[in-house]
Amino acid sequence: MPDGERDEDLVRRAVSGEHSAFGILVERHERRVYNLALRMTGHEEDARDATQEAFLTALRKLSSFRGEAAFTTWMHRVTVNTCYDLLRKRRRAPLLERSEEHEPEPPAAPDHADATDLSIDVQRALLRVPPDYRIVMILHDVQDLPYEEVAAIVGVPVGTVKSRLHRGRVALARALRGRSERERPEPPGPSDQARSR
Amino acid sequence: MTHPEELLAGYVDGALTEEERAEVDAHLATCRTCREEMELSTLAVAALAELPEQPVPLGVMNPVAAEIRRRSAGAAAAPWWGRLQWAAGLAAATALVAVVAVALPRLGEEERGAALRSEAGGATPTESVPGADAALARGVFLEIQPDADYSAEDLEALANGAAQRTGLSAVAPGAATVADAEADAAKACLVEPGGLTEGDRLVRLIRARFDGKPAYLGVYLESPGADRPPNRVVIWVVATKDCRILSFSSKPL
Repeated sequence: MPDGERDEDLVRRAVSGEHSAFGILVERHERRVYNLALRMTGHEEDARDATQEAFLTALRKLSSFRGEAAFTTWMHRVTVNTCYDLLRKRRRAPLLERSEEHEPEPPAAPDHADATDLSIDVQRALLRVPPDYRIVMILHDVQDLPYEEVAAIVGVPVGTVKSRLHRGRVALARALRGRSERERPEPPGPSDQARSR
Repeated sequence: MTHPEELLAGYVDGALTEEERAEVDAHLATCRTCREEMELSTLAVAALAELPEQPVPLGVMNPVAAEIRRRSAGAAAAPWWGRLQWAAGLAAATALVAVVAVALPRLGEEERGAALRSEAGGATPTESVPGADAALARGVFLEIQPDADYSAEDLEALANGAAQRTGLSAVAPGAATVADAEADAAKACLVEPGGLTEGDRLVRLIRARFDGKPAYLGVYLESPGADRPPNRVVIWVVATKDCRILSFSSKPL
């Protein structure tokens, strides 16, 4: 049953020339990839571009996937890098310095106005958090990935993931409460000493 | 004061050992800054939980699907998900979505003709099929059902009916029509919007009505790749007038 195949087996088939196997991988992972890109960029158009580019990059580089990490981890890493590239290209990073003129587009949920308003507020606040902190929150708090996998995706030690997670959360909550984070180039943590360790 | 920063996230997540938790508790008892930040952190986690997962917008994967097709030299079928996005988009745009889950057994090449000769499930019966063999040989065949008006439920019945009648070999007597030229047009109409390819494995092609609108119905079997057995059935319904998608259904076999 093809749909029950392991990702790594599908990669092997795709690399050996059976490109349609990659289509199954896309089908499996497109939603996570798109939502990661959407939360990271805050814009549907950017998320679309990042999602396309991430999968096209993955297809091009599939032969470099050695299986040391799970395909999911590898695909997330490709997506994160694509998002960073996109943010750099569009001069939207660091987003703390961004004006309010590019607000996130509201998700289509006309029958749930309150929930929609809240999620827009959260998305807006998320964009006020620097990308290095935002990404760990998206991966851990939104996509429920464990610290270790987030560390593997982002390429930092687990301890750094945890401290960034805490600092990012605090920054997000402050942004939600309406505090201006623009004057703070980095989210304030309880200890600057810990940051430099 | 040194703050146990790396433990604070785990504290909120409930991921600490007893020993670590006791360490943080002891710190919180004396550190107002960390107590405030713990409150903020908890608030942020709750807020992030409110972010809904969004569906992938229509057409996003088209360039990826195109690249896969390009690399799959000679591969006939496009990935089914590309078509689902395409169809869902058009259908949503026209507010005419009617998705019905259907089921068909795997149909081998030898079963295909029988399926084509079977009667429509919930709609009026298919008529006779002179010239069907020649059309079948070319993979182009049109069943004319002038009085049939399919509903979403009928799509399911159509699939079920085809599934149950795959063993039939006799052609139903009556006034059948096969219009080769129109069959080509009907097939093109199903392909035209861009989600289908000429290489898709057509099982049945019908001209009838859908919710009162003149329509072509195409029943396709899809394989995950070349030389692999079909694992999904998809029924498409397009308007005869402008090839607009009226409905579709899809389900794994």
